[in-house]
Amino acid sequence: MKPVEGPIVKLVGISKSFGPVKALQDVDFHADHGEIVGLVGDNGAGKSTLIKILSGVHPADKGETYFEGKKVVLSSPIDARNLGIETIYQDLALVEDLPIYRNIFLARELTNRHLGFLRLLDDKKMQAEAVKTLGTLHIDCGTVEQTVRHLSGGQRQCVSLARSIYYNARLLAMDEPTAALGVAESTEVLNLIKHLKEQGRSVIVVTHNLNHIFSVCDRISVLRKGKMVGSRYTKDTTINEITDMILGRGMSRPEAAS
Amino acid sequence: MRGSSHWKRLFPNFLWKLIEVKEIGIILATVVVASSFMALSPAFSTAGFWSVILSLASRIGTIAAGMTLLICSREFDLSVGSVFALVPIIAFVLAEMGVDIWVGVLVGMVASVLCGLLNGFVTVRLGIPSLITTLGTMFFYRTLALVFSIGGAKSPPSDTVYRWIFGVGEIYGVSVVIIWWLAVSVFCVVILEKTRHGNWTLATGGNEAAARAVGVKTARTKILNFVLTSVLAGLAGIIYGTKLNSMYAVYGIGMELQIIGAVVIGGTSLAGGSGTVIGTLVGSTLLGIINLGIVTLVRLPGAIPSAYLFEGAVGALILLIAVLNVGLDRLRRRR
Repeated sequence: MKPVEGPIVKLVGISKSFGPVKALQDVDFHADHGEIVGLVGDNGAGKSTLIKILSGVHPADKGETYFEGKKVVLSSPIDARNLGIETIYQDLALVEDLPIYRNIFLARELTNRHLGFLRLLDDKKMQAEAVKTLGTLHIDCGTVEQTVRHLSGGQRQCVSLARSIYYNARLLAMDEPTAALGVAESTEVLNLIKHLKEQGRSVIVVTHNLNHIFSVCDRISVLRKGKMVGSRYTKDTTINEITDMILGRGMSRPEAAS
Repeated sequence: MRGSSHWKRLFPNFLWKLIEVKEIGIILATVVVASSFMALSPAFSTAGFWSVILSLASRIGTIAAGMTLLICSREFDLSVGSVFALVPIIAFVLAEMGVDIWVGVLVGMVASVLCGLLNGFVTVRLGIPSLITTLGTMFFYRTLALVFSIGGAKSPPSDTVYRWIFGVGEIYGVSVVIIWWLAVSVFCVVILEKTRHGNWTLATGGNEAAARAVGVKTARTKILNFVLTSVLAGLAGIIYGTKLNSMYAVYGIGMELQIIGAVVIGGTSLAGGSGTVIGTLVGSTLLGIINLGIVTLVRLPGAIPSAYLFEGAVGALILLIAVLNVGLDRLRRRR
């Protein structure tokens, strides 16, 4: 895929409160085509809320969302998915007692007709497609008929990603993709993210781990206490500067890229 | 996985395959209980005996098949015993007033849908635990049944086609009561294993937040299962009332716990997310076996009816099979 001009997604003036808590205030955010954007900030900075607004889980109280320049309303995860926005959650991604392939196709089950009216699940086709899609991710998940319960953290990420990729996600939001993983598994997941970029997809990575952010991201956006502090291209910044931005220390430099 | 080779050596391959079968616990228990009763009494090997056993099982089993799906989606329903009495009473009272029995049955079934919808909406939309919701509606529906029947027995009209279909008919010597039960079970197996609704049921019970995040309509899934369970309770009530030729408002008190018991000993997890309608079918059969076995084979001293022992035996069984299932689960994890 060739890079296209302009951002794939753009959020303007987003605000969101939960009761008295102002989770996000007047936040601007965007991701370009084929770009990996890191979203960082301390606990409670609003990263997860921003991702949930982008994926249609929470509606924003205020603000506008543009997808490829067109204004859109994301009122459910299905709206977001129909546009090609997929979110991969660290904890609540998978149903442990369901087989791998049933997880990949959850809420988008493939069916076929019997006797002209009866819609039954097409397990054979889902299994075959699951094997094919997992194959492109280069992590061995074993047989797709086994439940997710026994999979490692890296394998689980892989199953989540397969779900998105099968439906040709164009923008993937990953919430803490490496949080529960060991060193080897983290490296695998970071390689996966680079893979996604090579396939022309955009990725938003939310994480606490600045080393991981610096090793894969093109650009880093920093949230602090519900406000967007700024955005820096990875090649123009340092871990120290980003750390200062996260903690709110010595903010003298003008916005480099927003 | 640690120690897997040790455990693998202990059991040959086909035994491992057997342990993987979800229903293995209940099947083993049923075979043991049935063969002990058969050894104790030759009457237990006769077709007549088994036809009684399966009739007993069908009363529980028809409702338990739907309850399996409801429990898989992590809710349950205590009001089924009351719906079991209410629906046939509505149908029979309407028939007494001169309404066609088929219309009466239709009205009764609509009432069962409404009962299920009320259970579902209060539980899911208002966020009240189904234990509380259905405990409340259990008393409420029971009172409706008492009021409609004015406390007396209600009987179905003598329409022979109706009576044949809903109770007294036989096909090749098999009572339609048993055929209804088997048909409902097959229907529920297909729904749970092979349809989107079944997949959503397991996903909702297994991890509701995850299911909702990917777009599963978890609320609708649960409400549908409440309705299914309630409709089957109404259907079972109509069948039972027609077969016995009468329905009292007090029939079915306490059956909800036997039904949930049949589901749980069948291998369905009360925590939701995993379950088996086939297991429930076998579980209901086991309750039927024990019911008849105790009544006919156990003699208590004095004038105490041995039927009193039934619930005690069911209780012991639930505990035993729960322990057996936990043990099997540990074995499966050793793999």
